[in-house]
Amino acid sequence: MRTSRGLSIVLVTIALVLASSMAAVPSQQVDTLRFVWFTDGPDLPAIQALVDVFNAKNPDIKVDLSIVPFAQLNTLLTTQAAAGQAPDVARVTEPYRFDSYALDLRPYLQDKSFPKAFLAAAQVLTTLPNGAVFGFPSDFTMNGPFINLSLVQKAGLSLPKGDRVSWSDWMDLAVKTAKATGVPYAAAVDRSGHRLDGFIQTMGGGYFTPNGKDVRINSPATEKAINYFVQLNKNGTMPLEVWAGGGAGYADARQLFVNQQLVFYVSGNWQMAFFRQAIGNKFDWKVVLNGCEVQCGGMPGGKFLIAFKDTKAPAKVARLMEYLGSRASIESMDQTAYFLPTRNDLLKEGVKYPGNNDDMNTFIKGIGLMPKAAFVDNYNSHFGPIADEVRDRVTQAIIGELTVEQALDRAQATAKDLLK
Amino acid sequence: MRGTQPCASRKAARGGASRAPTAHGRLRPRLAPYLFLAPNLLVFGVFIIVPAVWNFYLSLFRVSLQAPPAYVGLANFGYLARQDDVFWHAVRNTVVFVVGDVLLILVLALVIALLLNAPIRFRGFFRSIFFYPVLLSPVIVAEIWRWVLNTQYGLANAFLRAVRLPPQPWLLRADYALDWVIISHVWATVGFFALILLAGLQAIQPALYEAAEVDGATRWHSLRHITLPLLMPSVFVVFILGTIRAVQVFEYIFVLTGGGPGFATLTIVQYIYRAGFQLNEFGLASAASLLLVTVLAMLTVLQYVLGRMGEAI
Repeated sequence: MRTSRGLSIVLVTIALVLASSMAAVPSQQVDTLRFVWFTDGPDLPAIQALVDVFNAKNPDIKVDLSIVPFAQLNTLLTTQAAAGQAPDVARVTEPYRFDSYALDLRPYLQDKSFPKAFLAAAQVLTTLPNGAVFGFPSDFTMNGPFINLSLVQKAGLSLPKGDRVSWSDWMDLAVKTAKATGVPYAAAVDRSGHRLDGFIQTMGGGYFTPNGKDVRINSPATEKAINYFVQLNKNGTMPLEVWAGGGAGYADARQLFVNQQLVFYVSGNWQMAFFRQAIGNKFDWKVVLNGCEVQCGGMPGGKFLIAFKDTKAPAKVARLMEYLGSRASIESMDQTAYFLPTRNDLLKEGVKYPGNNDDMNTFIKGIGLMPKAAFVDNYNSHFGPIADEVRDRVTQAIIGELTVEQALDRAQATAKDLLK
Repeated sequence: MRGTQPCASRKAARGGASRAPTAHGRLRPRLAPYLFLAPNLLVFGVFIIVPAVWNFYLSLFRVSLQAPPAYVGLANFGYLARQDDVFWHAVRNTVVFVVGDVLLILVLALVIALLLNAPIRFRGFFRSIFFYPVLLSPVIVAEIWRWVLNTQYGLANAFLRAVRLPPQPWLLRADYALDWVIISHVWATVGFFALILLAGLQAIQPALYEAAEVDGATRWHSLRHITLPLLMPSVFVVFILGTIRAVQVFEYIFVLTGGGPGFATLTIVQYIYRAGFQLNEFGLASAASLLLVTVLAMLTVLQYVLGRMGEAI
């Protein structure tokens, strides 16, 4: 009797242990999704918060967010993708570079109308010719200048009035302010073919012909704009450090602006949140409209989230993409990082930012003033490499390795070759 | 006596008949060296030979962003030779860099090695000082020099301002950016080569100097007729190693100047990087890398041939 009771206890114990261990076995497989992000600064906590919420709500997915420097982004992703080691999802500025590695999200999307929720002109860059959708535009960007108001006031000057201020008026103001206040540099433009194109557009030039099938880099209008830009670099209005000393790729001048070594800085809305944090109450600054010459300037742009086909969990990738592209996620991201929205509903209703609404409205106003050619250029699938080529050739002209004419002729020849 | 007994005799002594080796037995000694080499050959094949063949294959194609790769034969090589001014810029910069870098290294490494071989005080300390930059990553060294030569807040311009001289755009002028790249690279690497020459100097028999001194030779005579001739094998090693390293230089210049200003410091390896990863012209990048491999292979053969000639002498 005692033996059978003991046996029963042992059996019950074993059964309980087995039952509890079976309960501990996860009912679903947990997949880790590699998510590569480059950061402009304050967007990092925003995306991290979104990822944390997603991870908490989706126990079968662990999103591993990794940060890479923007200057190395294309190199890293191209290498990884070519080696079959691409991440599952990445934030990029030139999605067409990764067309061959794109994951068609359509079969896995819960909401089949998801791609239609975004600005069509931008969504097309994450849509392949066969209709495959491999991502969405996560934020819209607009180029524009920032000006140090405190320095202008200290110099006893005031901002020009109206919406159609020429570049030369802005440069005059910046030079006079720099001279009066002892600031080393009057103006700077990011070392970027994208930013340069915005400048060129104002003089009626551009990289691509209106139909986007050919290039016009050595057109008279583009040459006029580049001559002016090169002169600004050569005469000391702009710091040589940014374009001549900017190395092999992109270089910005935001630290010069934050350190009050620069009066006028042409960059874009993605610097907003960083300036709010880094400048704080140290001095007053303001976003102004791009210069207007033949036409008003500016350049649209944006960042995209794309999915790669090497993923082992495409359905889960689609779930992550739908979450990150949802209205709530995009709105939260835009408010924290001062991005411009890409969703049609938010574009219609607007985003309420926690501060600097006037500055954000200046960027939004600039979108309406931009020439159509700016959109043609930016949304051309060869824009990235051609913009890099123009940037490098213009640098050669700045340092005197080539004349402007030679630089543009060579950029034109290379660009034509890239289009073949 | 037993200890030196041949194996076959030992077998015979143990009563075993001496048998002719089987085919299997004959094959084993022949196969053994290849078996030992196999792991290395496998790694070499997978990571060197296969990518090299693939690289050659890729150089025959035009690769673009959207279209599938298109076979173009030797057109990429033709484009490099006739049309691409950036490539020739890179070739010229690479030649200037290699000649300047190797010459400076040869002279300075020799001087440093001679000084460190002399009976001076704190010799060990100075040896460490000269070798120290070699221990640093090229990226760190480049960052240090970027700071030293920065126009705004760099150490070099701070010194110039202190002595009331105008600051200089050291790395921002196309005419002398490459000079500064060479100087800073020599600073970073000369310690390694000085060490090789120092080892060569220490292998020279002191008796030779004593005999020369007895015969009335001056220090200059000893240097010219004893030190330099006997140091030539080490100088040759420094020359070849320095040349190969200079031709291959990438990360150092990439961090220091990025090949700029303009293309003033762009070398061939950076050209390959630019063609591949910025312009997405992987066929062109492969063609250029094949040309680089050819130059490096020629240098390696030269090293081998001259090395064998040295042994023969």
